[in-house]
Amino acid sequence: MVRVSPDPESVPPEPMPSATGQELQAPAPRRGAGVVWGRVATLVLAWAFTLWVALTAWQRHQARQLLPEPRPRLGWDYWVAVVTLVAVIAGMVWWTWKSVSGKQLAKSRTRGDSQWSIAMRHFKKNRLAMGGMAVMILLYVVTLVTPLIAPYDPAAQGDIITSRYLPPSGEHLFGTDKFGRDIFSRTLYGAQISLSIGFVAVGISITLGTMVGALSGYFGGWVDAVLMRVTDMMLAFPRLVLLIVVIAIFENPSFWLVVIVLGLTGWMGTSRIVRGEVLSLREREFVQAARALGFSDFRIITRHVVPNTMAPVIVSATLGIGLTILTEASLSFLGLGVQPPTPTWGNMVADGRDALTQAWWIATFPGLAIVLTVVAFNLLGDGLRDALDPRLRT
Amino acid sequence: MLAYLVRRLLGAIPLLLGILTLIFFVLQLAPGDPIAKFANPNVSPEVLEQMRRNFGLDRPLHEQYGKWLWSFVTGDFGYSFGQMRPINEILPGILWNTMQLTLISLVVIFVVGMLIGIVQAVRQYSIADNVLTFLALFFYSMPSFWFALMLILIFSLRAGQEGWALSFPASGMTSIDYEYLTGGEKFRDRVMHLILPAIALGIGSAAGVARYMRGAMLEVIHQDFIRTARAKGLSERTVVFKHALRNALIPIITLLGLYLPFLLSGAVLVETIFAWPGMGRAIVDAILARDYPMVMATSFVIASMVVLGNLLSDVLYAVVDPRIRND
Repeated sequence: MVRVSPDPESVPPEPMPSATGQELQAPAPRRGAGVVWGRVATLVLAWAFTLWVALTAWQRHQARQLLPEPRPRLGWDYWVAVVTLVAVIAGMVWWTWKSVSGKQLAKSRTRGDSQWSIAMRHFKKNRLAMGGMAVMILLYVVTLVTPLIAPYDPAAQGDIITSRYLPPSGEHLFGTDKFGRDIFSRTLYGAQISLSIGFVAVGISITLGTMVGALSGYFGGWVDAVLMRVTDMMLAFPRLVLLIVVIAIFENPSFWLVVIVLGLTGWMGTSRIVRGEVLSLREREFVQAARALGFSDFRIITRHVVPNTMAPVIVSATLGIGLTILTEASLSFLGLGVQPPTPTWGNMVADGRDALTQAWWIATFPGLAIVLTVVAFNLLGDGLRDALDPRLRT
Repeated sequence: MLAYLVRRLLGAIPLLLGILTLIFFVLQLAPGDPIAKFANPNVSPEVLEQMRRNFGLDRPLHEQYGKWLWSFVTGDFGYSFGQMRPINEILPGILWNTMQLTLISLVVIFVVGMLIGIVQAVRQYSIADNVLTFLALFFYSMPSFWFALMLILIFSLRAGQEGWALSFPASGMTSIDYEYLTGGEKFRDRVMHLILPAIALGIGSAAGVARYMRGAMLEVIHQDFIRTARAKGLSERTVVFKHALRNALIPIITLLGLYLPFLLSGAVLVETIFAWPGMGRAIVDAILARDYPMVMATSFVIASMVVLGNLLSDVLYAVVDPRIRND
């Protein structure tokens, strides 16, 4: 797209921090107080959440102690959860200290002006994006501490007569399904699958996409022609169709198969972005200088070119996690993702589909969890895009 | 213009050949072959071997590939083991069903998305803008299969139970008593069956279009010629719809090609949920039945639809923006 005029929405240049360490501020006298209160409220909410998690974990621990002697063994995820909980509490203490101590506050105002710190300041002003990030952090923390706080075992079947299809209540927050399993616990455990698949698959796809894009843009010629034709070809398949064809030819897809296939089908967008960036970067003086110094192509690509393409890659990765979670849920829904009895949000919605008339809650809550997660990632991605590259704003 | 068109068309041919190759080799990776479907204790290994020979599955790979490619190029898609019918007989029907759904969805997407985007851009930073932005994000982030289920739950099941005036059928293309309806009622029946799937399929993309439209409109609306148009004393309606909209539409046209893969992916889910007899459902059924010839044919047709859609949007773009075709 050819841009004829300067972007009307483009952000005015950032105020430089003055020598006294005070930021130049637009004349908005009443605003400061609001910012402080917002910070206090966030802090209080975060502490409330942390304490709630700790308290619930303690209660579960007490309940466990009451069980008869050969108690079920604790899995490794339990110990990961304990470590996470300790780390979260430590992090909260550090954050609180940083927010109240005047010395720290003064220190944070006199930082240098790198590209990243400018972007950081932009990002912090964007409340929706900060909200998205808060939800994302919350989701990952909850995912890690799930074994400590989940009220029931996600696979434990209740009494088939008295506890199937129970509507949401105090005891079963989101109700129960046809086997009497607790939907709330299953939603919590489903988050583990969705979030880790999203994270790992996007890790694979941006690595691959950056590699393909950098090679193609840097070397040009036939390398470029071949790699870009392959990219076009992959793009011509609707992703879901390609995925179901590939996954369905393996019997019983495992977690890792789903992750790898999702990663291998999601790199095309990143590779196009990186290629575009590299095409303009390779003509720049610093790359020519590196070449004149006799560095190898490998070193130039990995040290000089690729780090400068990271801003749009990070944005596309964040938005990609949301999209990957959606795609994984779609696959699970079709019965081609991680197989039951492992709970995933997709196969929970599929379960709920069979009982839509009698138990609306089975399909509704996992679906809402997907929406919440993807909204958070999209808000975060949009915010990062605004912060890192104002030209790209829509 | 003609030269541009020819160049683009020629460029699509290697792409389609590449797609065919990809499909062939992905399915070669599959454990077992099409004959494995017939293997059971009642069939002797000799018979299986004979079948393999009949289908040419004992030939070397490159020979199979060449033969298969040639038959696809000449328009023979083979034989569906799942439905025991030539695929050429099945394909036109399901293709047409999917086209109906996709085209109606496209209309929904662009009309709704563009209207919302225009409202947002004209009233930038108003409450309506913020609410619509958030709603768009919400719908954009929603899994289409879940939204489809919620639509069925509310507008089909609940509406039927409570006896609302507007209650939509939950599945299929036509009612059971379709054959006995008169012409007008037949049409109404089809439309009623189309509404929920079209909304479920289109809403996410409509939200995406709204986001783009807002950006495109904002870019145009702050330009000098719009100020001139206002200064001439033109009404706001003329300014927005005649001067601004026309220029904002140019980038939107590329979205047409961009959303086609999304729509066809979505169609797989939505058709499965609404029991819509189209391509998406056919491919899921074929996969579950291990009907490989059908999988190959349907995925090829879907991929070619995407290529065609991209071609169409590029050509449209060249029609409205002469700068493109001259370089």
